[in-house]
Amino acid sequence: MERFTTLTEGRKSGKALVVLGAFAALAAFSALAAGTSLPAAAETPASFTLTAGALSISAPTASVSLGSEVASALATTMSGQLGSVTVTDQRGGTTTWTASVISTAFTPTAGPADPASNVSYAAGALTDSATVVATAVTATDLTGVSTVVTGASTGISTVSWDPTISVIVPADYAPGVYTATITHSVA
Amino acid sequence: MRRIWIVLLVFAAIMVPASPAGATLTSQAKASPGGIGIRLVAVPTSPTSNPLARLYIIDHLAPGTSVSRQVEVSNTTRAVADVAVYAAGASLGGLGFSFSAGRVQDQLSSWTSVSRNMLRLQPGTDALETVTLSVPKDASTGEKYAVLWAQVSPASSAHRGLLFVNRVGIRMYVSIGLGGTLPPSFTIGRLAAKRATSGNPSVAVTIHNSGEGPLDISGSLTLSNGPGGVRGGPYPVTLGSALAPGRSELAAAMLSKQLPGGPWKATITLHSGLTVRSATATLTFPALTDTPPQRSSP
Repeated sequence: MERFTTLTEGRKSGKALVVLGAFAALAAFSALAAGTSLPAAAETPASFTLTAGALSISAPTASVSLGSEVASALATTMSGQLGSVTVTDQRGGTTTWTASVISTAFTPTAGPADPASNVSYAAGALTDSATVVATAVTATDLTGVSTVVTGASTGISTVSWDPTISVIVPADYAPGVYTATITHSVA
Repeated sequence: MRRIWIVLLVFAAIMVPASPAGATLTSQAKASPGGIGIRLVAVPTSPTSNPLARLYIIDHLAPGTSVSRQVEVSNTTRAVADVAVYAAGASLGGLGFSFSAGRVQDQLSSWTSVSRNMLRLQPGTDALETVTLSVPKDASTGEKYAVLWAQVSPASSAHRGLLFVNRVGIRMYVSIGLGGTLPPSFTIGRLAAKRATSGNPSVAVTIHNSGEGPLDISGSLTLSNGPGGVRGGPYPVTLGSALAPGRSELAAAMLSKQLPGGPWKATITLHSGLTVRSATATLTFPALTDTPPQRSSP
């Protein structure tokens, strides 16, 4: 009974019959019982799906020091490098992203804070892969979210930079450890 | 008196990972950087859909409807990462797509929720999050923007110096159609420096309601780059009452008499609901007309 139905199925397609004939009846039974759609499957073009990868950021998470200096009656500027920031774009195809930065004020345990308007960020030289055009923009006031690097990618790409942070220290600021948080945002 | 200015002295002495748990394990693990990543998965595909829908959360929704998407958050570092997942505001303006600071919300982000706000990801692992967008019935129509962020913050407390918060996101472009009303909209005219008869300087500005609904405006004025680098404010800006569509009204901030004349960089930021506008100008206040002792001094 079962066998009869499989043969009927097979007759719908010449190909399937040839296959049936070439193989032993035993094998054919299992193949066809499961494979009523076999001819169709054979004609389907091979395909695979690539899903978009991630956009990711790798940036310093360790706290960093800009160094120390003696308090001064004159305004001074302190600066330092933060360590490498890398944006990896594995989304594929034509994509763009923006990396931006914002800072809080540099706040001591006591006394007035040094506002974020005195903090600037320079991405410096960009190291990028061939599949991306990246542009750095110097931000001289990190009070608001400021774009520092933009990327236009045509494939899997990475862009790295080692930013320099400069902080204007106003005259006569009190001694102490001044703390700030800098946020990198990439999307 | 000798004052010592110390900003900090640990230059990456210890790689502090995203989570306190990994702190002791990872001091040597800085070879391949790795990072925190986010991607959109399970994108509903239709031949006519926007190709950007593969990259961004893009949709057109009617008020009162909701939709879900899945995103994958990955940790390719060698440390455990505590990743906060949240939506925050964004805008599309002359400078392109720009992100709101921190967790500042806008309409779209306030309608967006995630299945888990915090993920603890072991090194080299990833996790799926469900993002749900629920558009309220009374949502205003138009295009809305936001970003879904995956964020790693330093383990707060003990650290001093320059701390880093890093986040990576998926942009959201959602247009709201059918019903509702247009979002509030207004423009800010030129800032004018004045001096009241009382001698107090003030900043006045004309606000025009260019939207279709009434405005309930509030905001503030800040002064910076003043004589000797002085800053002032924020000073509240007041407006008579709710401003009807198509109408213009003068808003003003009254300042202290002792304020130096300038020049100042004046920035006014006003909002009505979630609509925010700002304007900046360089201003010098008119000199006091009466007795000279009140002359501006730094």
